[in-house]
Amino acid sequence: MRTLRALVIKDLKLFRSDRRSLIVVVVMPMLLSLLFGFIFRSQKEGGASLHLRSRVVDLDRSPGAERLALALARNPILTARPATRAEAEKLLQDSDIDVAFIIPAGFVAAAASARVAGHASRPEITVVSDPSSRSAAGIAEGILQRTVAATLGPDLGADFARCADQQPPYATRQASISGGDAAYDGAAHALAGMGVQFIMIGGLDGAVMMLTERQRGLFRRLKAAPISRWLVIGSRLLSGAIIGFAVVLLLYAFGSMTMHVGIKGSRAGFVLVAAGFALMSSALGLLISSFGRTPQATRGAGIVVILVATMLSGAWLPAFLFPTWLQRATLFVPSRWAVDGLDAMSWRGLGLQAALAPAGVLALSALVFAALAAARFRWEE
Amino acid sequence: MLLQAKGLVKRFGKLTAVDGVGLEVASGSCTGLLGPNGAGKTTTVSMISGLLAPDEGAVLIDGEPLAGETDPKKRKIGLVPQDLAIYDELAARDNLEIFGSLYGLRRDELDRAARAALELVGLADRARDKVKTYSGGMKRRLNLAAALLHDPDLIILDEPTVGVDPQSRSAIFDNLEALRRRGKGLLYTTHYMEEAERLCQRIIIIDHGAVIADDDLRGLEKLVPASRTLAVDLEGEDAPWLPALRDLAGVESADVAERRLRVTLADLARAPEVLGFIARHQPLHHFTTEKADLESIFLTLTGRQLRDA
Repeated sequence: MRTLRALVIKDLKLFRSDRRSLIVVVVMPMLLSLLFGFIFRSQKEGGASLHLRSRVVDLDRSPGAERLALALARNPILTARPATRAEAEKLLQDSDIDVAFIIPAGFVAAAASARVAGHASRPEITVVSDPSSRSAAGIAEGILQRTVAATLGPDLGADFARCADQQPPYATRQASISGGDAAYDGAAHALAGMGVQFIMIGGLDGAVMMLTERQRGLFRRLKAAPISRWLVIGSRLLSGAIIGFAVVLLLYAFGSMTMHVGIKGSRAGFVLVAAGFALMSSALGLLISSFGRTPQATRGAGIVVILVATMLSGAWLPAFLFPTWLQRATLFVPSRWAVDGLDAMSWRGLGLQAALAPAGVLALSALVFAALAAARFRWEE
Repeated sequence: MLLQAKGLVKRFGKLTAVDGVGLEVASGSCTGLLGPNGAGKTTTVSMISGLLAPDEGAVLIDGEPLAGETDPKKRKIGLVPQDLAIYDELAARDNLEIFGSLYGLRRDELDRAARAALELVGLADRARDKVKTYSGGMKRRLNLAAALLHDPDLIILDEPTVGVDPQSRSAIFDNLEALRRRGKGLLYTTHYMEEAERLCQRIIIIDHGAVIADDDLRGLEKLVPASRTLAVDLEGEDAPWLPALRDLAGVESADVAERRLRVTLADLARAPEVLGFIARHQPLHHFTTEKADLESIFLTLTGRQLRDA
């Protein structure tokens, strides 16, 4: 018993003396829970913090439809500004908004007729969204239904909104902007998200390996040879990128065999995005290693960085759940471009053109990370 | 001259780690670089092998200054670091191919060099085995082999035998002597005095970053009062006259162990008087004066205070 006690106390003392473990196990969960708590609690309590970027397309132009559009604009969650149909579709395609409400021509009159004629042919307001934003569309449709009932109830001469069993003389429905074959594929999105997360962890492993090499004195042997630091950094960048790229290909081959996830868009675009992402994750690893002092401490801190980056990339949670400022901020997170780019080339079925921006952002990020890493590179501990 | 280091100075903040160290290594010779922990040996070696740029002074290889990360003169240097700078997860052969390619060796050349290096250190039959399966001594020998692939003229060895068994150490010595006979210049840092005595024709002792002695062993022996100890064989363990011997003028200490009396004198000139005293108490069969070894020279020059840094 005494021996057991001594061994347990020994472990506790070692844990207490290991600052890295203390930070990773105790401090980091606190900081992360604080961050997540701040993001999500503010939405729940304030309500208004949840914000869906939306537009309303009023093709009816009747006084009732105008009141409805105004009510949607005044809704704190939607603040739906008016737009033409073409404008709204363009904004949806560019992922600049989450949903668009299409009020068809003659909607209010048709709803009034439907009430009289017994709801046989009810007019529909369409909630158009990106296929990946089903949850956003669901929330928007709920708000729309309440707003229509509150705004047009008097015009339609009934208080159907108060009766749960009475069907309204109109309908709402959700539609996808992409249309055609590009139905949302959760498996493909999961593949992109998990791939991004674990390839970045692979990049971190490369960083840890580099620090281990330095710790073991291998860099002394490299430095004794007539080679430059740029060659050392460049070789690490390239090897990390090759591994990352191969893993993306393997992952999608696995996804294709097991979940029938295909590259429905441009194959060249997919290769571009995958290569850009592999380069970026390798460069990120280099950057982390340039800040790290020991392999152990770097692994702990790097995991936190990668988990936050993955979360912000929308791999775990739909981005519309974030506050508006955070949704905008995620555009500066390269992993978000990786997830979006891989999604675009897989289930969205988009062309090469749609791969250029993500691949460009990823390549530029890789360049910046690699340059910073090179500037901070140290041969010795 | 293969290597000339002139007035090397290296400062780390306020600490001057190396303060004006100069040394030379000729082809076919071995120079030992000795010093206590923290004396500046590794910093000196780092500057000579191009790992660190000196704040002052210069390193000349074949008379030309060494400068910059990519200086081609680095090809003339082979560094055996103190750490086992090899990849444990890879085979010995793979390690050598990686390190050889750093010096621009091409396939056939690399193949020949790797085979020759493995033969030299006695690892040819384990070339395909992963290094993590090697003993400590084998890893040390591979660490040496990795520095030889590009056939350097100057081999810098930073404590290359730390933690190896006597057999491996002896094998490494044999390798180094073979290399020296082939005309290679060796710069050898070590804590083990017997290694420097065996291998090095010239020995440099540094302390607190500066050279405090630079000579061959015979020259270094002259720096300390080396032959002040008499060793006398006794007929038995019992020497009741020992306290009287200790009271003699000029006797610093006198002790008996295993039928051998060791008397340390303040001056060797007192030896006849002391021997006469002993002869009066027992027959004298055999006596010697003990010659100073490198260890005693080293301790005399650098002191006995512990150095932990």
